[in-house]
Order: sequence, then structure tokens, then C-alpha cells
Amino acid sequence: MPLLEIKNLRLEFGSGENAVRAVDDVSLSIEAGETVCLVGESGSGKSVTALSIARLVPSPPARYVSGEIRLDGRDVLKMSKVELRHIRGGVVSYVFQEPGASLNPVFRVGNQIKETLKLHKPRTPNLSPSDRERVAKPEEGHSRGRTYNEEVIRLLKLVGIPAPELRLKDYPHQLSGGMQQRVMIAMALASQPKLLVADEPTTALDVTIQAQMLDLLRDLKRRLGMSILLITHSLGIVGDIADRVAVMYAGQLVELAPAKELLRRPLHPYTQALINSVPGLGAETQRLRAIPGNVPQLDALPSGCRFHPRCPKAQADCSQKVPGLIEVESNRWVRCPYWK
Amino acid sequence: MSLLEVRNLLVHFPVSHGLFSRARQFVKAVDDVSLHLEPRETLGLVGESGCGKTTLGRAIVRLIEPTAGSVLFEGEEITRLAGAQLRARRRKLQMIFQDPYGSLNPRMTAGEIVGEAIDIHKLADSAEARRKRIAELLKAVGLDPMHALRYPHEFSGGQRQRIGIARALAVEPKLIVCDEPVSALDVSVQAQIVNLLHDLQQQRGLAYLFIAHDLAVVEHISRRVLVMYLGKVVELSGAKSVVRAPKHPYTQALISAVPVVDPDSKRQRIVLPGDVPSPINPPSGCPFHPRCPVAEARCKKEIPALREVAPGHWAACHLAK
Repeated sequence: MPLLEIKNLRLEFGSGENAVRAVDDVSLSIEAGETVCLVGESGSGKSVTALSIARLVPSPPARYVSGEIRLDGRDVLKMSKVELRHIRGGVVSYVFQEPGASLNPVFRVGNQIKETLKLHKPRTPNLSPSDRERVAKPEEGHSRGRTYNEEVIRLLKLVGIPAPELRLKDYPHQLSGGMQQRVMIAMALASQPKLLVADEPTTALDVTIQAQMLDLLRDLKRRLGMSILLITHSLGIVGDIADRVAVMYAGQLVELAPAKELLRRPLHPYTQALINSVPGLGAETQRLRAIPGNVPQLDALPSGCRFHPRCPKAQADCSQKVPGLIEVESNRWVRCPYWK
Repeated sequence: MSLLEVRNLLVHFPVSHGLFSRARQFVKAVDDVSLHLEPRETLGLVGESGCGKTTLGRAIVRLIEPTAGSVLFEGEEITRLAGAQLRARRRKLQMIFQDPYGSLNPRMTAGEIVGEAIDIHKLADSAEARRKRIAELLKAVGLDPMHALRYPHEFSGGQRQRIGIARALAVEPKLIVCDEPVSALDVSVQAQIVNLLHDLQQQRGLAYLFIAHDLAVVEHISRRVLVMYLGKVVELSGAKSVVRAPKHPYTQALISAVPVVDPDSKRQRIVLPGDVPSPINPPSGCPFHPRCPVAEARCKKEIPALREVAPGHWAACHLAK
């Protein structure tokens, strides 16, 4: 059984005729220990999809129209508030794009991590034996506060922050962007989630720091055995870290495939156009193959296939028929009847 | 004669520690940078945040006053110009900003935004000529002239950046400093703007100083690339040779850190430890030595000079060959 299974999720904002469907018929599953990337441009619904895993999209204004989100075997959409509070952090944790905006500026970072620990009463750390030896475990008989402090230091060490004993007394503004993001990850890991959702975790960071961060995520996944859902607009990051990729466009999933296969041989015209429009480093290109037009607004979606006005391969009936997601090869799903 | 020549430019910002205390420390945002730019050329400027690339761009247009050094534009020293003379010079020297949301006045229509530049430099002698000119400019950047009556919020991010470009073009500049013009845009729209900038360069004979942190975009659009680290130039060469055969260890790490789409790429990634140090107290010797994978003892003491390590390829590293 997959750790997360989203089935035909539909989510709307607003009501009646003005309702805007931000997520339309999205199905996605993540196995334990798997890294899945959700790729799309702004307004494609990738963040909303990710937030709905823990039902974090406030409702109202959002409305979960239909579908199922099975996390760890239970449907999130049917959970009570108490249950939700348990899975938020307990099963799924989030890391967001702007670490500076996600941390509280008036509390020391150590205390902010400690808050998560207090809320979730940590179970025994699910570390590998080598880690257990390396990182001193809190000994019996210590006062509670002391134990928390040691756990915070252990977490900061885990995410690669040098001199964690000193850093935990820092305020967020005293840390660099990369360090702030590491603190965010430490906080997300404090409750030992099974799934880490990272929403554009490296977008606000420099490339050399981004490389550090991707290394860290890969390393943590291997050591802690968790699953990662990484949201990004960069196909380069996909090639770097993902096992599988889901590409979203205007609220729909348009292609779902193993990462390497998708990058080698994209099947949906949008994925192809997206890969072609990015200049390659060291590549000989005279002119970039831009995608004409703009990403459609969700309140003015084109009829039929949502990509057809920008699609180079559009046929006459693309503007009328709404294409479904079809499995064209094993494990490869494409929302385009003309994928060949 | 070069279109633009920057000689030993310094931009230092004082750091004060309280209302009445005198500044004793300085952020050396741009520290002894020299460069030149030929007409119709694109020079790419790359570096991580805090390396001083934006400050350098702004100091050249004199939106920030340089502390020392000289900026020669068409042979004329512009760091000492003021008033009407400066305004006349600025006509030839325009800027496009990163944030297409923040750099357009929300209360002005696209037509007024573009028209303001025309008014300030008195480039149209009648209302009719002014209107025509605005329509022409909007068309040149791929917008419908009818859009002149719309406000910035009615446009998408890519279209807003086009308005910013039209505003810069309105005064017929020779050099445009593009400060991260595509960073805030969606991937599919980025390519449109890069192509537009390329076409405009061909049609109008513009020179660009193209500031960005995305190496692939910079390599694509530039003829030469300059790499900055902590306010200093660490490498300068043709775009292809910087990307394919970088000489400075920092550039090597920077290029290896760019994630590539090709899943079969066999590139070895160099992950640099630590963060960019504070420009207030830069490390002694080579500013890169604390993070450098190949640093030697002398790197801690001697500041490496920018030297020509291969024909046309400059690097500031003791060990570069």
C-alpha cells in the first residue's frame, strides 16, 4: 500500500458560477521511501495539491469537491480536527519556499524547534544504527528541558548546522538563507514524519546553497527512510533528485512518469515544450524555443485541452474534447491523445 | 573606443552601530572592479546573492554613487556629471529591473509609463507623435498598442516585463543594464523575454550588461561572462570558455552546482561547504579560500590578482593554469 494515495482530487475556490477549480482530477501516489517531484509553473495547482495532503488549504474559501486523500491508510478528507492535528507533523511535515518568512522572527530558533518537539512527544528516533552511535541519545534521568535541548542539538546536527550548541540561541535574522532553510528542515524532521513535503525549498537560495540543500535532502531520505514530495518549477532539480515526476498544467496532471524516462523522452507536448524552452548549460543553441502565450488564468480556462492554445501539435478537435489521463506505457501516464 | 569602460570601481557602504556612532566598518559591495563593454555586445555578470553584481550595475547607471574609481561612457567620465549633463547621459544608459511587479507604478497605465520617459527627455514634439511613438514601442516588445490604456495589474508577469523593456527603449539607449530580468518569470515565459532581448539587440544595436544568477541563461545570451565573488571579479572570459573550461575554483563549483535536465549527465558535482562570508569582514588573502577545495597556505595571505591565464581568459586565482 502506498504511503500517500490521492485519488481524483477536485478542489475549488469560491462558490457557484464564480468557482475556480484550482485542482482538477489529480491522482498521485507516493510509496514509502520514494521521492516524487511535482513540476509546474505558477498557478498550475501544485502547491494547493501539496497543501491539501494535510488539509492545510483553509475551507472555506476552498472546497474539496470530490476525491480521496489516503495518507498512511486513512482518508484525510474525512478526518476530525483532532486526527488532523495528529497527522500534521506526525505523518506529514512541510518545508516552504521562504525560510525567512516561515520562521518566527522574535523567538530563538532552538525554541522554535523545541515547540514542535513538545507538541509531538517524539517517539524513539527512527535513525540507522550508525547514526544512533554517532549522535548521543538523551540519557535517562535528565530533566525534560535538558532532554529537549539535546534533541534540538541532535536535529541541528542532522541537518548539517555547524556548532549547533551556539546556533540554537540565534534568532532567525542571524542566520543565512541556507541556514534558515536547514532550521526549517530540522523543525519538519522533529516530529519524525513519514512524508516530507518541500514546496520550492531551494527557489530562494543560491545555486551553490541549492546544491547543498539537495544533497541534504537525499542524505536524510536515505538515513531516515522517509518519502519526499518536492515541488519545483526547475526540471534540473527533477533530474537531480526525483524517482518519479508529475507534471501539472492549469490544475491538471498532464504527465506522470519515472524521472529519468520523462527527461529522456517526454511524451506530453507541454513537457516537451518546457524542456525545450530551458537553455542548457554548455549547449549550442541559437534561439530559445519559447512557448507562445501565457499560462491560462484559472477563471478563464480554454475549452477542451487546457494546453491547446499554446500547443504546437494541437489538432482540430483539441479545442473540444477534454483529454483524459491515459496509461500509454507501464508507469507512464499522459493527458494527450496525440502523444505519439 | 569601448562603449563603456569601468576602471577600479569601488562602492563601499558604511555600517553604523547606532544613531550617533560613527561608521567604522564598511561593506565592500564592489571592490576594485574593472570591465569594458563594446557596442552591440552582451556582457553577462554572474554571482551569488551578496556578491555585488546588482550594486555594480546600479553604480554604472549612477543610481548608487560609486565611492571611487571611474566609469567612462563613450569616453566621457560620468561619475562626476550632475544635473542636466547627467540626465542627458542617462538617456543612453537605461536599466531593466528584476521585479516586473515592483518596478511599474500601479497608478499609471502602460502608455503613461512608457510616455513618461519620452516626456522627460522631450522626445516627441506633438501629442500625436507621442502617441504614435508609444504604440510603436509597445509593438516592438510584442504588446498590442491597445494595451496602452491598461494598468500594470491587468498584465501577466511576462507582459509587465515587456512594459519595463519598452520604457527602457523609449529613450533610444545604447546600453541597457538588465538586472535579473527573467528571474521572477515562469520558465515558459523566460524564453520569450530572452528571445525578445536578443531580437531587440539585433534590430537596435543595443549593448547589454546582463546580470543574472542563472548561468545557463547568461551563457546563452552573453558573448563574454564576468563572475563575481564578494565584490571582486574572479573570472572573465568568453561565455563558452567560462562554462566549458572554467579556471577559477569558484566558477568550477558554481557551474557544477547548476542542476541539469539531462539524466545521463556524468558531471561530478562540487558542493562548496559553508556560506558566502560577510562582505564587512571578508577573509584575508583570497576571499574564496575558506570554501575553496584546492586552497594552499599562500591563499590565506596573498590576494590573487586578476591575470590572463589563457588568451582572453582572466582569473583571479594563484593556482589557475
